[in-house]
Amino acid sequence: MHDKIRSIIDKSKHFLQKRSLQFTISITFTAVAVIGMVIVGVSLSMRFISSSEKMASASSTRMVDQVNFNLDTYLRNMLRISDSMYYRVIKNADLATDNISGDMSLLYETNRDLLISIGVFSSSGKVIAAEPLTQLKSSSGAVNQDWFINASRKIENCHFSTPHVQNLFVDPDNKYRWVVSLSRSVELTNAGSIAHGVLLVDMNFSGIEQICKNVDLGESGYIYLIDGNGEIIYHPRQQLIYSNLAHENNTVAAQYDDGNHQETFEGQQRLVTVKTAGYTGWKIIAVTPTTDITSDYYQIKIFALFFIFFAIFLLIFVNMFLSSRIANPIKELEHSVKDIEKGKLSDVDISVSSSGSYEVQHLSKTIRSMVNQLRNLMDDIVVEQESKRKSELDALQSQINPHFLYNTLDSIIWMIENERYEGAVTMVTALARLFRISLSKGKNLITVADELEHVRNYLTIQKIRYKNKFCYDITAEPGVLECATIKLIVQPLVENAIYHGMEFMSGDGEINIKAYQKENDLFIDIIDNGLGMPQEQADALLLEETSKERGKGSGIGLKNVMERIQLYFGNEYGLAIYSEPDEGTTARIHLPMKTLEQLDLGKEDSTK
Amino acid sequence: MTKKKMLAFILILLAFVVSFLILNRDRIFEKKNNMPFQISVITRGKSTESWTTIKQGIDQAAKDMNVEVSFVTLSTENNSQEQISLMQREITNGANAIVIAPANSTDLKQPIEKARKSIPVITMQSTIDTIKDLPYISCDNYQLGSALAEKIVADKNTDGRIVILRNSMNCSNIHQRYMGVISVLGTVSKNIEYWDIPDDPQEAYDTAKGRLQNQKAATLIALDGATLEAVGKAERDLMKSGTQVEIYGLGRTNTVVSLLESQVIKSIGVENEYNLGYLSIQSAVDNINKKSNGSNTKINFAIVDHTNMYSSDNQRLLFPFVQ
Repeated sequence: MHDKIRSIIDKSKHFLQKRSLQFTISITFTAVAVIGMVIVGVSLSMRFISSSEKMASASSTRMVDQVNFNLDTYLRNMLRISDSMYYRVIKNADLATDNISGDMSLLYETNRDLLISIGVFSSSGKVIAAEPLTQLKSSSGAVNQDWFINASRKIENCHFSTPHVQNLFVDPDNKYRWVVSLSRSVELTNAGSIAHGVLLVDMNFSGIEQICKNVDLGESGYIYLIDGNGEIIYHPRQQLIYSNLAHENNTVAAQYDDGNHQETFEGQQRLVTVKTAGYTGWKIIAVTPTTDITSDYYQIKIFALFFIFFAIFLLIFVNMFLSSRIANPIKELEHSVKDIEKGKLSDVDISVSSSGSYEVQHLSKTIRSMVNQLRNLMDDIVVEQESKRKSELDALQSQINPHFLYNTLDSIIWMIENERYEGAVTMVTALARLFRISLSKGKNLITVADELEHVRNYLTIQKIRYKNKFCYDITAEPGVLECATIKLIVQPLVENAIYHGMEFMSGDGEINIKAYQKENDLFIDIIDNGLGMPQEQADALLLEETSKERGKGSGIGLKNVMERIQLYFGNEYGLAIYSEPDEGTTARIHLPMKTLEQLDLGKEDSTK
Repeated sequence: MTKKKMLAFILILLAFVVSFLILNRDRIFEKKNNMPFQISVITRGKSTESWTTIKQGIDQAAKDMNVEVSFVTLSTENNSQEQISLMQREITNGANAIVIAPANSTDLKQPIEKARKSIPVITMQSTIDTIKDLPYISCDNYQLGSALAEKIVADKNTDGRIVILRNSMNCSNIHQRYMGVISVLGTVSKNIEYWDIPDDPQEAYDTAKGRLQNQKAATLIALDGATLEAVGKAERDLMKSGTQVEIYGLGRTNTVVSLLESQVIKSIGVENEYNLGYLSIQSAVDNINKKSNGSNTKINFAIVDHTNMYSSDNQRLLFPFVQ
């Protein structure tokens, strides 16, 4: 279990780590908000439901208690009337001599709202006294009626009947009234002898109805009254029940104990509160359909859900807004840093944003100043490097090998001594030109024509020195002569060709130099028919540092030539060497096809 | 905040508002839905006591089903012309349904057919047999009549002269009762006569009294409550002068019940009038809501004499429970 939780946490961490800051912020905020809202909503609605259920049952209980109290008062009144009649009137009277009608009439008159009739019957069912009507119906047969039977059977108790139509007395108006009868056995004194009789108090049914009718138990809740056997005494829909149009769960309810019960009757869930009234054994039953209580729940649930969703929606929106406010400056900053990563140092100044919170602003400010510093440093480094290289080059260029100069001068002296002045003049002239072009007013770039001239002078000298051991040929396409080249890049290659290709050759050496245009690029080939070498060795030459055999050549290595070309014109240009043993070697210089003016303009543009 | 996001926000907000309205449409539009139906009940006579129990049933149903009932009585008994004009008046006044006890099966046929085209019409007590599918709330009057006749047979009161009191014979229920009575008595007695009794209670009383004095009859059968009351009263008043006739009848009023108790009337057949009133309104509401199951509801009835009138079932039937 613990491991599972751990793995889930790890997974979500992993998941979040891959996401953007904004996503993480909004998703966590939203999740927390949703969980909070759901917990609050659910707990509130649960609280509400349980409290409203409690309230419903409490209010039913209260109502039932109230009805019980009223009913009790009502029935006690009836009992009191019965008691007064019995103990104050009947007990004190001898029927042989006294007339109890006057007292009975008085009692009836004071309680006529509650009563239909009062009557005292002998054990044979004859009327001894009655109010307000006295004439018994011929067909009535009081002795056969339930109230009479009950009173005679249990003489110590008072008996309450179920509602029935009173059918004792002749009523000239032909009125038939529903009554609840209170009957008890009484002792009648007649001429000193005691006989049993029955005292009947017929209560107006509407009295009970009044007590139960106006009870507020919600929309469709109601109270009904049953006796101990489940017979309905009062029901708001009594006539419907009597007519079989409505039904009540009264027989089942008779078995209920006092308190709250849940029951399902005719497919309806209801809350039933039962209270047994004192003395009569009647049960007051309050019925509240559960739908009455829960009808609000549905609404409230819907409302709760609605508000939860609404709040979640608002929160999501606010979260998105907030997270974007927080994350966007960071994101922008990140973009800027990415640009820096790509090396776009020069653009960064514009794009390092300074929006967002104080922290982010501070961060971006710091990054900006860092970038500026970095850029300055880099610029410094470039300048430094460039100047370093330049000085190195200058040094190299100025390195006209003293050995070469000494040999040349030696050759010139030798020629003069042998009176070969012509040759000496040629050599001195060539040497002078060589130097002039070498210097070229300190310029790095010269035309191809000058460069070839330089090589020609060099070859002139060398040819004389090597006693015509080789011959050479320089050809150039006319279009390329005005093109720019770096000075002193052909000469080292020619020097190599002489030293490595010609020196140890038995036959005549040949050196061909060709400048030509191919596919908009300028090529200068130095071809010799010397000893040659394997291609691997030729490739290695380009990687070697300056030749160790200093003293013989100009000391400028192939690698140096290559670096210079690439430094000036870029990596797509440079030097290539193709060689085969015993066949010869070709060194090919590859340069862009540009005149000096074009290069100057380009430089000006870039510096701008 | 991009415009798209703002738009989405507003759209979702609108969706919330709309769903809120839909959820609460019950509360907002409740009042409209809860407008009670107007149902007019048109009797076939004056406002007499015989209608009290039916009216109680109607009132209970009106309360239960949230219906406003206008209870319309006639100025004279069985006045079909008045019924027609009242029915038209009620329809013009915007009744959602008419519950009517047709006074006359022929006169009212066309007006009811016409009225049915606009609103539901329910017949109670009597009906018009010639209109197909006309909702009809009543007990089985034929059964009621024959049950009473069987009671007469059981009481062995078929030997003498049997007189059937005729009144409102144009009403289908009275006619059915008559047919029921005849179906039983026709086979056991050849001695059946008919007296025509007028509609007006006083006239009916006088006619019955005169007939009773002049023409000896062994058994009288009244087919409706008013006639039964009139003839019962007449017999009660004549009893001192020594007439002896067994009165049977259908229908109840308080006077009839008291006469039954005092055994002036031998036995009566009563239908559950409370149910009649209740179910007629229920049927009207069902018809307005188009939930009618099409079948005609039958009401229970009982044959009661003085011995069993206070049995718990019969007293509920005979004595309306005043609430």
